[in-house]
Amino acid sequence: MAEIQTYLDVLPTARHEDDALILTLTGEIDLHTSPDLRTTLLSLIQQTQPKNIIFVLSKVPYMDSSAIAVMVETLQRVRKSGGKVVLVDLQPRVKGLLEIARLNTIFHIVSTLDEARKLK
Amino acid sequence: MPDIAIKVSKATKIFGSRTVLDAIDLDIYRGETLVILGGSGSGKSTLLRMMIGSVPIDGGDILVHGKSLCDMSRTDLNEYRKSIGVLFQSGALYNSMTIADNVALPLREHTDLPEETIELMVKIKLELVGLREHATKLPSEISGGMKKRAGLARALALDPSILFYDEPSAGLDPVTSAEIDELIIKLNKLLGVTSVVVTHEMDSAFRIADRMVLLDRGKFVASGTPEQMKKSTDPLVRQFVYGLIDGPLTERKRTGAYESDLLMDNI
Repeated sequence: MAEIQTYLDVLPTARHEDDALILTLTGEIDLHTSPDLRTTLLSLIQQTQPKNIIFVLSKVPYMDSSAIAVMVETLQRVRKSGGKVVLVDLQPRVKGLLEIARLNTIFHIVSTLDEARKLK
Repeated sequence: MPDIAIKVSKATKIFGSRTVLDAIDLDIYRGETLVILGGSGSGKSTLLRMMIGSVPIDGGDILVHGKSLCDMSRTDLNEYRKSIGVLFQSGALYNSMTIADNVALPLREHTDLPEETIELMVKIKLELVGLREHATKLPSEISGGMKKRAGLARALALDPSILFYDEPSAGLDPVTSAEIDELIIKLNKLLGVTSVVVTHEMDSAFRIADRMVLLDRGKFVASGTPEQMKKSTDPLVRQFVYGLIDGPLTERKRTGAYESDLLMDNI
């Protein structure tokens, strides 16, 4: 397990655990913050080459479609090597956005980090 | 008390010697769908244009999320307009651009998002309104209902917290109109978007509204839930809600000055 420093307010913690990259996001993520998040995520993916990506979203009350697009882009990257993106503990508005955009079937959605870890 | 998204306070609009909106008050709550009803010349479209900052306010004020539209500079108003979504009657699409480029336009013009993100966002918005498979078509190649949905996708491009709809059902067949209504309801319920809808289509109004207000000759004459409006005994409300031939509106037309009627039609 390796803790990775990111220097981003919305992503204070990133962890490489087994073959997964665990990203704990914090706060509202919108088009002002999503470009930096994207740059950081793409760099982390390149650096750690994870099979799966786990986004822990307990502390994200809202994200707009630019943030969702960033998560879709991370899925594009890991899917090439058979990986998946797992979203943990979605808050109602984020869940609503994924549902309305019919993206709830593209991502794996679970309630706890333990459940996410079991999805190999 | 629910949060107020928009507070209309003694808002007045005067065109020449005619008072189109006469010191009206209205609170619109965060996350609700408010329908503004009224016949031609009632002032409802003028009120919507004042709320989106495209028509100056002559008296009183309108506060959106606590910020006064009257106090905003031109730059502030431009920023404000980026934070709201507006679906115009015509859809207001650029005919020379594909549907996808029309939706991408506000994102390319007003943000620094990378093109990869914009392309994904456009796909998401088009899927949301059921037009993803028509992304590469020009507006001239799609139906009126599809143009309206494309206009809605563009209004949603910047993920606004408030959406304004100007006659969303106008010119649509009943099925397409019901589809647009369903979208308005979904956006409201799933995303918590505040919706302000100007219409005189009663079927649509009853489907989507949490609350309704009826505007007549520049003043609110009634407000309430759809059920309360249906049960109203006020002759004017009943005539409007049930589309009755006899009532104050037709009586006014018979007895009113021809010139006044002609002038009020253009509000």
